[in-house]
Amino acid sequence: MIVFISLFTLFLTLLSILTNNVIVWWSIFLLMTVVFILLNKSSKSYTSIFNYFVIQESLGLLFLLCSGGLLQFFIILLKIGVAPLHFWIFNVTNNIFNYGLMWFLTFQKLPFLTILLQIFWLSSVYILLFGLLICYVQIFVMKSYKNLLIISSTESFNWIVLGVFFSMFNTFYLFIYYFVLMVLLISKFSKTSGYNFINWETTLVFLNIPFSVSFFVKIFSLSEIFKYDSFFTLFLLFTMFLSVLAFSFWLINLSMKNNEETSNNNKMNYFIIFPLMVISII
Amino acid sequence: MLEFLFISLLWLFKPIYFLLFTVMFSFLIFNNFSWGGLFLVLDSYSFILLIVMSLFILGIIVISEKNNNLLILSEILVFICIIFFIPSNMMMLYMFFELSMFPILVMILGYGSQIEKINSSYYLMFYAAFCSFPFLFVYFKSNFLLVFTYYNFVISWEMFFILSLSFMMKFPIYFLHLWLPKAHVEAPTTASMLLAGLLLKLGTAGFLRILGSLSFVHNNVWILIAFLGMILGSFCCVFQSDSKALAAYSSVTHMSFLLLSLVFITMSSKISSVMLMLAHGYTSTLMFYLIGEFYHTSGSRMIYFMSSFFSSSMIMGILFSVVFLSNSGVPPSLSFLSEFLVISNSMLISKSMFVMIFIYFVVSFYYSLFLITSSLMGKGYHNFNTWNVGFSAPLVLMMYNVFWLSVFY
Repeated sequence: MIVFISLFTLFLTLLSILTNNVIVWWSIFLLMTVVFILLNKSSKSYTSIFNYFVIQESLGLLFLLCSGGLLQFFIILLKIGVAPLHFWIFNVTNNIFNYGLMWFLTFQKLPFLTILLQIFWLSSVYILLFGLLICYVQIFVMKSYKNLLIISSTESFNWIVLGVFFSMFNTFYLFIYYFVLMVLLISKFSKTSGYNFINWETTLVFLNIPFSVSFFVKIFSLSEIFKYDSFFTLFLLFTMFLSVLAFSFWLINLSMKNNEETSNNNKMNYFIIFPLMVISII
Repeated sequence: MLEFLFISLLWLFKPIYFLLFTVMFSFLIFNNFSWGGLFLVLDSYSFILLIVMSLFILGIIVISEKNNNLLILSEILVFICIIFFIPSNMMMLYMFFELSMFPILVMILGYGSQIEKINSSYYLMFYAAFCSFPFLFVYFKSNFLLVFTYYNFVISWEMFFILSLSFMMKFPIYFLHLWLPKAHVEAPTTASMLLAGLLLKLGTAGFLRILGSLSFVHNNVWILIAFLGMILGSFCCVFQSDSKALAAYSSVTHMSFLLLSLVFITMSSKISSVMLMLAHGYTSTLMFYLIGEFYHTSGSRMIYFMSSFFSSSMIMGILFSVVFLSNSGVPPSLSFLSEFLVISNSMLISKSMFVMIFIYFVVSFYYSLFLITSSLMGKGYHNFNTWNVGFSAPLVLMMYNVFWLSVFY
């Protein structure tokens, strides 16, 4: 089923690029909600399914009602969960696990990204940068492993959305690259296990280690953003240490505890793909 | 030439062979000095000498460290630093600069013995992240006017301050130095040796690469910061009771003196700054190594308990005194020659600088001599391992050997 849903999502992405019709876009929104329900029904995440359905369908109706461009833009930002409009995400993610969580944080957003590309508003760069600042402050005060991972993924997606306004093909390359690695990295926070813990490779990537995906997402986005004069971005770079301090909490626990139960990631696949990340910079 | 560097990676889990191939690489880079290269560019003997220094430090770690995990982490760190010294573009330099934090963090967190290592790692990550991310702002705003990895065009002093924040943190300049004593007192001996001898040189080597943009603009401010670091750091050393903290603050004073030498931006002061980098690399590595040897024997790092070296081990007493005399700049050490060059340059620029440098030399000689006398005197006994102490002989030779270096100048 995951293969069918992936191909279906790619088809919807292509359809959203080809059309410029709010009815067709709304249909794509509805079908993506159905995809989410299909994926998470097997893990019995009924609370998350219900919350997601209510939020998405309410915003979808608002999208149809408001035919002005600016408000539709903000409705799509809210539907994706782009910071600073991302606080509803935790109500959904508290009860989804395994590949449902990975899917929600990555591929679920792809058709919305292409629709966003067609109705973008250039002054929203400041809103997105402000959202990044909100993300860093929230990361700093967050202590749950799962919520830290979720909000860091939201922050990376903000960088991708910032990049998509300036360079579309760079961003789509980054998004596919990001998606492939998040399949390997996003841990399986299961219902049954008491150890919701993080592996070494996940910790290092979210710590922005050079040659890793979150580092490249920031570098490529920054190289585009700085063509657009913004000293607020310099202030944002100074506040980026908040996320490093938050994720060093992961690093400290990994260095001081001995956890043998958490080696259930695709470790071998990751350490084959990790050297290939170096080729991206050449 | 590069095949030896990459063959050494094949032997990452065999430390002796890794060291062998990197040493062969270091011999070859002496003969391949050029501006050519695709990914690695050998464009200055300064960085070649720093690579040779890092291999000497790795040598003493390979023969003295028993923990294989620490050996592998040391090899990874030395490899990262070698590529940092000879990159072909500034983004590669920045990425390897950031990457060097992670092996040292894993060493401190994994192999430190006290719970305060959590606090020291937070300090290290805060200063590293806060000071280094804004580097990207200046880099992407520069319109890529760099020549390979040198900033040698005109930028404003605010941009230069932001650009140099990451390297000043690694120096460490006074006011940005608070992470270093915390990191040293929690690190194992191998991590302290690499931190003092090698990681601080990333800041100085990076500062060499951005020095062209300084262009004497507000370098009186830099001289003032260097004087504060020299004098206040020296007085911090006098009051330390932990010998590792004393050696750490001694590194702060030496690196501030190096900053003073760098910001003069004359040919002889650049040469003396490179010599001072090498001298500090050899001396501080051995200071931490010998303090670590005493710690492994007696279980204490307090200066109060450091005594009876001559009655315990003649070679320990001799090498300890030789290392700390080199720390205070006694001839015929490399420190003395480089510090003499700095004094000459400062007298040429302004004779009133002599007062500050005089205070620095008096206080630094005092704490070095205090540690030497309190360590050598006494009639107790510590069962030092003679072989372990003898492993420091190659670095003692390097810190007192000044004649082969003159071939390059």
